[in-house]
Amino acid sequence: MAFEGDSNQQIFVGQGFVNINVLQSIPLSAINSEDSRFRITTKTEILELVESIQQLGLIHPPILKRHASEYVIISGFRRIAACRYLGWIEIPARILSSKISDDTCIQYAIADNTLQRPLNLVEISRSLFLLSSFFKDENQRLECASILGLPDNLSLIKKIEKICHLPKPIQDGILKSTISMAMGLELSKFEPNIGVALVKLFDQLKIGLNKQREIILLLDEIALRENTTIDSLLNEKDIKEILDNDELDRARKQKIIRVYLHRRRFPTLFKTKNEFEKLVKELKLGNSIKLMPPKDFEGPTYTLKVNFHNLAELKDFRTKLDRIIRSSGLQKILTKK
Amino acid sequence: MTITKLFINQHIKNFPETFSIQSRLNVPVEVVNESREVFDYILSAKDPIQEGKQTLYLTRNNGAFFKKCPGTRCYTCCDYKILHIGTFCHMDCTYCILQSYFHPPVLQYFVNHADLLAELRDVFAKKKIYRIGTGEFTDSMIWELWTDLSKLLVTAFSEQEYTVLELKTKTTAIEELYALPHNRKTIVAWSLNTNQMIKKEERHTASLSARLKAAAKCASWGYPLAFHFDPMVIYEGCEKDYKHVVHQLFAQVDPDKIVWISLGTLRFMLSLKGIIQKRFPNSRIIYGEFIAGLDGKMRYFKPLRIDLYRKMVAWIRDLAPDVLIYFCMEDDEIWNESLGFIPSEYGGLPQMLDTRAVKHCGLNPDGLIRK
Ligand code: SF4
Repeated sequence: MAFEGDSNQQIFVGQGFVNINVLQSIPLSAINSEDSRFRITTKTEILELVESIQQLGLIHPPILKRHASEYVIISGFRRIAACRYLGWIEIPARILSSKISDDTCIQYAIADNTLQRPLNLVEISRSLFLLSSFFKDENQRLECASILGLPDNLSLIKKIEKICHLPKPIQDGILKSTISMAMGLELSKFEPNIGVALVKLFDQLKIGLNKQREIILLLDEIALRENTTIDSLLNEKDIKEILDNDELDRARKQKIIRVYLHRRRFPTLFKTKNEFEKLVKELKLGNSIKLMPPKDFEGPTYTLKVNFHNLAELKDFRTKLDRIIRSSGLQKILTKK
Repeated sequence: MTITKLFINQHIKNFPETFSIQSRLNVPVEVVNESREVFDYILSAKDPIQEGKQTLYLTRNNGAFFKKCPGTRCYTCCDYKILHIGTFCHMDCTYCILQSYFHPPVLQYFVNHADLLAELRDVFAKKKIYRIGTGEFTDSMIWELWTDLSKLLVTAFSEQEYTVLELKTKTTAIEELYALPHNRKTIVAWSLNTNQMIKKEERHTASLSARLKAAAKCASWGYPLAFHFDPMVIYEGCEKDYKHVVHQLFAQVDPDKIVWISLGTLRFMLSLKGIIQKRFPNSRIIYGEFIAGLDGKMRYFKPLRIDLYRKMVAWIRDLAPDVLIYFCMEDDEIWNESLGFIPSEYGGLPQMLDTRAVKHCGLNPDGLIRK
């Protein structure tokens, strides 16, 4: 039996049920809280837990493993921190024998966490990554993941596993839903500081996934075109001024940043569009007529759109159209001269 | 890049061409029953494109040798015809469309030359003017290293008077052409680019000066020449560089020997972008001001194209006023803005090129009427 002393409670750890119902009182000073090999939780804040322990006591004791003269935490990092905060000297804990292998310990750690609450994506990632370091056989790993309530689809596992290696602010961005898992993984192709800066930008402007992609593409290609880095771009005066402008709300900042990046990525196209709009304005078409250029000024076809409610408006349009056709403005637009 | 493996299709293993190529290559040989085995071999490599450039597959062309060029209706096409002698290329240009055209790309050479010649005889028998090239799915001259292709083709074309062959290349593999009785029915053509582009984006190709030297040699052997500034890439200082190329060209080559010069700026399918990013992370050519063209290919924003074309036309006309300049896959606006006319004023681009071929290559003008 793996546990020291008698026990009644059982926990499933892949190979079978092991009895773990023996509680021992362990001095907190003998517990090594620095060793986070088996840490699954992403939470560090303990005040709520402190309050609960104060009122109800420690309902669910941590699991520890004896290691030489001290104890390594298998699960219960926050509970132990809360008890330390409360000034406890000792803590009741379930103790695993020092003979128990690390892979079994990992399964205890995952099982104990999943039994208490649903894991978030980063915790799932850590769990899968911990498992992968011990199960070289893919099928065994999938089986174990499935038993522990973790995803058991290999391609999904491969994606999720990477999340726990992302810089902390990117992981936090995923947990806060500032970015999706897919975006988190996309950001991993950049230097960590760039990924972090982008998450900060997305968080500040509350940008949705499609626009995040658009902004990344623009920044990446501008940086490549201009032989600079995304990081330096984001720190440029022009961009900083937009972001730091207190008179603009988020939506406005978002729009201005996107326009700015488009203009910088496609300067000639942008200039041509502006000139076209200026010339169209001079035609004084009014609200019911719209003149549109060929897409990106590539094809030969211009579009004229007319909204009208009745015959009188349509007749009015005919007069206007006559005037437009004779105008030098339209000539300029069509001949681009 | 050197060939590291030779696959031979079982059905052609006893063809004389197969023996001949095999004897010139000292690499491991594997006979396969079907192409799938070769494709699987290529696809299992870490970089299948790279592997495809080093693996030569000798097989037969079960389809047509004589094909239409896959132009689109949205832009003016030159109505070129393709002689499908093989696929892919062992040189490695960043922008090469063949990287995404074949799945997977394999250096494939068709050895059923009796079928090829039979098809050519049918084409010649039509007595219509055709411009046929071998440089659409491959570089025309890379095969010179291991085959006698130019001898076969140049000789075949020299014996008729309606069709002209264009051998388009970035190599200098012209030695075999020297002794061939070409009868001016073969145009030797080079793609030209600036030294910077050749160095950075056209790996394993010949330098500009080497290409021009080879061209001058071919001219001295009586071959008509053609040049293709394609793809022109817009980068800082490109104008000065392209002007320099034009000057270098006419310093080496007599304009009278040139049948035509084509101009085309870089264009690419979006599917190629990812390949370029992966295989050539240091290349910057795909980050220009590209928009999606009417044919779905990415091309430079039109005013940028017009601007560069206008300048190129002026530089070329300055030194070679009588050379025919044409655009590859551009529309009337580009023609008008850059050359001052549109092809339909001269009967259309195919007619313009055919007439030029008749004049420079000694084709029979009756072939124009039959078209
Ligand atoms: S020379 Fe032509 S065929 Fe060969 S890699 Fe370059 S573009 Fe492709």
